Amino acid sequence: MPGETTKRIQQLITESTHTQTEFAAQAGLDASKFSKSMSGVRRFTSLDLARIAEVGGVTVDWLLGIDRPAPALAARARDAATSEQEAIAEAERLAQLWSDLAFLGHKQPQVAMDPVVQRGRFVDQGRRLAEVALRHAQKLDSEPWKARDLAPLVEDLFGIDVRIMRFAFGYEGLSWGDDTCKIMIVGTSEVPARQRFTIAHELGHLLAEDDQELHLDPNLSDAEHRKAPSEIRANAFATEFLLPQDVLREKARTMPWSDQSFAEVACDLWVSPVNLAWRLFNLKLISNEQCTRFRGMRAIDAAMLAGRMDTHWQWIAAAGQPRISVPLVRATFLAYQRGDTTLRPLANLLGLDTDFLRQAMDGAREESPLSS
Amino acid sequence: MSYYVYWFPDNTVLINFACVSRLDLLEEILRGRGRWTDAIADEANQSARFYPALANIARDAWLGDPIEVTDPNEIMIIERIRRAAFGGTRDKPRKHLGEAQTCP
Repeated sequence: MPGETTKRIQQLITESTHTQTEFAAQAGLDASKFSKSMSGVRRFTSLDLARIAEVGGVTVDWLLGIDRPAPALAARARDAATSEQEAIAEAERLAQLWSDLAFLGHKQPQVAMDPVVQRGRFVDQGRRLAEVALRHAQKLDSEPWKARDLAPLVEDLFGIDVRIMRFAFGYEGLSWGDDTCKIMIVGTSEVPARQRFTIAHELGHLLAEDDQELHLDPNLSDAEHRKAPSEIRANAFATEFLLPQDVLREKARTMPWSDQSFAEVACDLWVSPVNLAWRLFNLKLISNEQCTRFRGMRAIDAAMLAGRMDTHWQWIAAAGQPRISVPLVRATFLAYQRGDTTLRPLANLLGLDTDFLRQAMDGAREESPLSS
Repeated sequence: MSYYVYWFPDNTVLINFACVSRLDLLEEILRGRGRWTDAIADEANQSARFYPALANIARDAWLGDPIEVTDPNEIMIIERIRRAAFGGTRDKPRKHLGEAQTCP
């Protein structure tokens, strides 16, 4: 009976519409040896499989029968936007790196959070999940709603890698979770409050373990997309996580609402005025009239009113910058430092030439201006 | 208990000796203890287009017959090492394969 590898190679030959001999020639393999391997007389070698994988457009793992999820193929099949393919490819690349590092004994740090029973309305599930996440943050002396940059906070508190990348055609974000890692890929943005909401939203998906492998959020504003139960839950999570009702009730108790005070709260909490207005209204902390008035305020108006223009521009500049996931860089460097890997995986991850990285680490390129 | 220690020069080493026309020196240093794998032999064969002397290694067989890895578990481990330790990618399965095959 043919083994799994032979079956998969036969599948490639069939799909290629070549004969077995032609396929072997294309792979640069001796026809006679190839025939013996296909009939089980001879075993395929490591080099044979590499050559076959190259010609067949598959991986050696796949030929060996090791199936990793292939969401990129699914995305291509439904003619996804280029940015989505890019985002999925990046998630796969980082997940593969974590998987390979785990093989060498360098695992993504796991964070244990109190379990959350998922029952009742999805909006309530999201809110309860956020409450647990906030309690978890509190134990670690962190107040997420005060943090402008959520990416390092999410990595440190929840053990989830945050990769921010620039997409040619824009992309909101996706989340990926498998046996070895949890990752989110988020697009750079000229609307920083929106990017911050996306990070919180993806965190909600990952903590709720929505979808086993991959969850795509090309556009969080899309009306159809927002109706899905997992989206309702993730949005409720993000809302409570970024705008905790206890914090807002306390603010409402101690201050009268005016354009000025509203703008200051929006800036303090790093949220868009429109989101803050709706949240306060839904919590019955402002009237319908106040909600209508505050909703008309733009982020830049709020920054001007609150006297925070400098920080506003800095925030916009920061949200437009790509970011590599720090835990992965840390683990990859540690693996190199301990002699488990060459410098190449770290150079690949940073997108640098190996020689350049070595020189940078050695400080050889640095010429002190104080030297004589 | 006696055992043999083998040396596995990778293709870069072979090229370095070939480009100064001193493969004979490498052969002398190894004194019959040199071995190579099929991926290294394949790489050397490719490089022989630029350094023709590399073709003589296979002809004269002073690194022996190329060692082939056929056990699926060992192939899987080699593939992991190729990616994890040498920075190879899934879409270029021959890149760094020789190094991974000879990594202890």
